[in-house]
Amino acid sequence: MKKTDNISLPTNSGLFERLGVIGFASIEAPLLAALATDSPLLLIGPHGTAKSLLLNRTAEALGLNFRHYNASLLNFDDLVGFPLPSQDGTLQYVKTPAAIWGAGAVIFDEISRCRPDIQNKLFPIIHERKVQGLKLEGLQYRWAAMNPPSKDDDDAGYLGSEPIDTALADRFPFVLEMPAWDTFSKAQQLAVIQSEDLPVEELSALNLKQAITRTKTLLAATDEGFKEGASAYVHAISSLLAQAGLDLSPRRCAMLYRACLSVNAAATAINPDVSVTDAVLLALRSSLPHRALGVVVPEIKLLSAHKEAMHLIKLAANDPLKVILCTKDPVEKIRLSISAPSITKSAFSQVIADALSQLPLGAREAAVVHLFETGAVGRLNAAIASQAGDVYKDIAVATHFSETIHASNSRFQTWNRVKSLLAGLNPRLPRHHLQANALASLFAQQKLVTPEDATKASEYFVQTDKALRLA
Amino acid sequence: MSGEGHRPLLHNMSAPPKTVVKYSGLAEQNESGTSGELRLKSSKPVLNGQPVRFVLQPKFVGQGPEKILRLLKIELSKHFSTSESQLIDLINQCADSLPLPEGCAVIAADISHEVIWPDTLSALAILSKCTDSIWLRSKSPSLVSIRNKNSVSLLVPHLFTKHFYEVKNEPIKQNFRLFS
Repeated sequence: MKKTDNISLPTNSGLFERLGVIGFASIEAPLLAALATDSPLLLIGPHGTAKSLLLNRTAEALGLNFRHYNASLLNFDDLVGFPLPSQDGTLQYVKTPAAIWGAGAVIFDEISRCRPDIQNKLFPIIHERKVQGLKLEGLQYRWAAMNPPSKDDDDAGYLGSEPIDTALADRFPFVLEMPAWDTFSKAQQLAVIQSEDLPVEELSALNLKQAITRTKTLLAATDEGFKEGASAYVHAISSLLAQAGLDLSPRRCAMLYRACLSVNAAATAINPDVSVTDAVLLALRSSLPHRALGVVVPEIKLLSAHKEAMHLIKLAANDPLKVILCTKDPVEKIRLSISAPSITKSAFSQVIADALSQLPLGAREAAVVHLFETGAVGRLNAAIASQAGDVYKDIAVATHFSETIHASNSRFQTWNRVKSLLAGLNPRLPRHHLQANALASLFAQQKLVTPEDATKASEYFVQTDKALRLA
Repeated sequence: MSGEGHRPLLHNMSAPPKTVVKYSGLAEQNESGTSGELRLKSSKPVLNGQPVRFVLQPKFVGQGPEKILRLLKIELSKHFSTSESQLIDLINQCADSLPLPEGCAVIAADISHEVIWPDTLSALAILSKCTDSIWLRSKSPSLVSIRNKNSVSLLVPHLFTKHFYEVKNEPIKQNFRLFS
């Protein structure tokens, strides 16, 4: 994959704007990719953000026989009709006009508000175009929409909109957040305010169909180099996101790979000058299921993981930095970095700083001791080395401190725990001096708030010290 | 280490008892007789490595590069535009030749710390490349920092101390490219 410096995304193509849906340029490429690959699509957004309008207008433009179900009010009979035993003993369904049979597209609105048993019944429709084990012939598109799920600690969520089942969310290759109203230009906002419910124009519908065809052609012509780069990217990004607490299932990794190819093809169909980096970032944004599960994906984590993954795919397969950056455990990361003298000072400093910041109290102190004992601290840039030096100084040489504490103070309880932990150490063992100094230093800096903090810090110190020295 | 807590009956009942906690290193448990005091005491500090002291002779302290070169009996070379750049080059060469790890912790200098390299350039190579907490071989020398201090100790990990005495008595300066 080639990286370009251009970070602009296709914003003026207006495929969906011409259908009367305004302000969707930023998600046009993944929408087009979903249409070109017949992939299930989930839209997440607050009320009034045109989720249903978008899907309805798209179905209309494509001339699809579509059904729009409100999943929160749905009964299974509404979907399949009434069951009727036939003369040969099989079950036939009395097909009502609203039943799913014969539909080219289905829209399950408010999917996060429907009952779990209904969600389970929607699962095979979305996943394999089947209902009650029967193939839904002619069903091409499966779309769903929902409000952001409510979370106890999140005021942005909707009461009654529950996170959807993890397995169901993992069946949507494209999970798109609707563009927020405040990202619209004034002209777009005015256009939305003045919009009328007019039928889709023939030319606009033709434009969309041509864009889908063009995307399919480009996707089929994707070169092997890009495919290789995309798979390396997915491999790297899944490790990096896992380090940030955002795990991807193996299925999601495969979906993300296909999304990279199809979003790149769609973005190129819209704007031939689009940069690969931006198309891949768009694919990543469009393929993460976490928002449907009520998990907020911090933008900073997403961007830094993307940047890092793009950097990693340019490295040779046997480059140690690649292995190091894809390692989840920060202690292992430190160990690998120290044993790889070929990595640059800047890369080494970044890896160590990141790893140290991920470590809990006690583990961080042990890792810093290891950096000094191996001399690896000299490979760090001055700023990081100096921070490590500040930590090490109080461990290598005992901190002298004296403090008056009220017995009613919770700090007194913590001190008692520290005291008891120190009493269990053997002054004849040099490692125990380091452990004691680390604990005392953390206590003096008021980083140990509860007695449990002291116990954990002590345990982490021993574990990390062992892991680094014995490896 | 001491574990004497507050006295339950003798303290002022209107205020919670106070306890003084102290730490100065891990040592055998040592009960203190002081009322309300918890003390962790150590008779002799245990260091994680060997402390090595570097001392700059008083006549060099506070001097500029030209004077330092003169005191070292090194003539200003044509290869350098200024005396400062020449002194920095000498400091870097000396730093490269010292058998120390690339980075070391800086600790407060104590008379008990051994001076292995008493020469001026070695002292300059350490003093000009250290902060309050760390010495880095690759750091650019700061001649300003040597105006304020004349001694510092590095805590060298045991892994790196075995070569110390092999090179201890070598006149390090002889290995340098002395431009004159």
